[in-house]
Amino acid sequence: MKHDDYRELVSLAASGEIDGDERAVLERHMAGCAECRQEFASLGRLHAALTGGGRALEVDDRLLAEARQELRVALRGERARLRPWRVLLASVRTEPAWRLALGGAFALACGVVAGRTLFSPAPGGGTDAAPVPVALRSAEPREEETRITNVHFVDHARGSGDVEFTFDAVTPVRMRGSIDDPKIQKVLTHAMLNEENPGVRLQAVSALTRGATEAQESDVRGALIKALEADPNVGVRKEALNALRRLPFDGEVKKALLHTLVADGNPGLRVAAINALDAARTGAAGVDSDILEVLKQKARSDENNYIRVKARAVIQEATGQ
Amino acid sequence: MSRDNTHLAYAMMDDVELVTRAQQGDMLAFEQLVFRHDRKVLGIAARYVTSAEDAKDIYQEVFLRVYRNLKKFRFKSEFATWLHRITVNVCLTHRARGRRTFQAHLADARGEDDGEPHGEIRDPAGGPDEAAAGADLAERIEQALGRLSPKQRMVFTLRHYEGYRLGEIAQMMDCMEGTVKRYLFTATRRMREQLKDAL
Repeated sequence: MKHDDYRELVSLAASGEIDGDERAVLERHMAGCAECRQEFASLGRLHAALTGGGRALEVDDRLLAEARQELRVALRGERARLRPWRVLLASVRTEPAWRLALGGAFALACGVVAGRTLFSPAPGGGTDAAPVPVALRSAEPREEETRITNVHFVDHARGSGDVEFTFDAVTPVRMRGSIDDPKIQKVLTHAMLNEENPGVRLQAVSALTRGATEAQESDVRGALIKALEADPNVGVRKEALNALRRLPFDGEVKKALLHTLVADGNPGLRVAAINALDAARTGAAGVDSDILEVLKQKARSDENNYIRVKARAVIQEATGQ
Repeated sequence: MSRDNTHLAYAMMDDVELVTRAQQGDMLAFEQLVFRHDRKVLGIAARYVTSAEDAKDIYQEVFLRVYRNLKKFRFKSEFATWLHRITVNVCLTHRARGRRTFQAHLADARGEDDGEPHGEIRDPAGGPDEAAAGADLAERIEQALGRLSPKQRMVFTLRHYEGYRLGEIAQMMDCMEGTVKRYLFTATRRMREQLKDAL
């Protein structure tokens, strides 16, 4: 074995990466080689420095939570990108000449479709004489502002002169009414779950939680639970959690809080969830086996010290252990 | 399984079951896999690069690649090994993209591997002497790591900061253990040379 080979062995030995036979060979060599002994000592100092010196960037909970949130958003985009209908639409090619020639036809068709869409009675709504809901009386579609988007030709039908295409007609609608109105709640619930702008989602949650009545409670509660479990914006999830705390504590709410405690990347939200579960416990809801199971898991392994301590405390109070 | 019970049941599943479910489009299973392994991924990324934004970029790219390729995973290795192999590849690619700005086309033209250091990439002070002056040990280590080639730095990071054995690193990097040993040996020698006056 050449001397350079021993130097490589010295390096690996300092990293703890040689086996017993190699170690014996190296020890015999080092007994008679001052250079390798010095090398080994030098590498020992290097490893000590690496251990003590550390690296500038450490993984902390905040960074991990940010990374998780950004990943959620990216995955949402990824799923949307992979939807089959998008693939189909992408394969349809519009031709500039046709678009020019059919511009007038678009305008006419848009007016007809937008009018039918916006002013036709709701399914099951009965005849023209049926009472109009309060919210709809104050809904004011501004037809002149209708925007036509996503025009896609389905069939050029060159021989017949007919054309077939699809498009989205988007018309701003002004709506005013009581927050207790089911129609208002339906729109806000949709906004809470689907709006791209997190500020709008947050406002929708806030508005909904001011007005949820017994009759609509379960729909609103379901939407709040979805927001708490899946909204990419931590502010929206927090608002949804606060709103759920004001609703009666039942199995659905309990499971949503447990989901947050188990899976949410934001430690602040997990703290809020465990506090909410504790408040419900002291409010006579008690601690069942589901809650106990999660609390035991959190007491053992949550990254956040407060949550571990709190989980242990709740378990102790609830079970006397 | 109802949605109501998933948060508990999924936390108890092993990786094999979670991967199987995720391959069938179960996003909760995928999310559970992320939560279970992502701290390690971010840890490797954060130790490999110096900026939090870069680390988050790597983290996101890793899990997007996992999401896109999960159906091709055939359980020939542990999921964690596969995930960490992707992490290593993304880290190496991440740095390779940055390096391309400086001299990649020259290296490509010569058909070189990245066995040599590329000190000009991460030398914040413009030269070794200026960078060393007044820097504390952590900064010196940081700078010395930055002068290693991407693969040397990856092996060194995985061995010394993440505690992986050479065999595991070889699996992650999809190469022979002897190659990993050579990277580690060269990286250690260069690190010691650059830190000799601080040790």
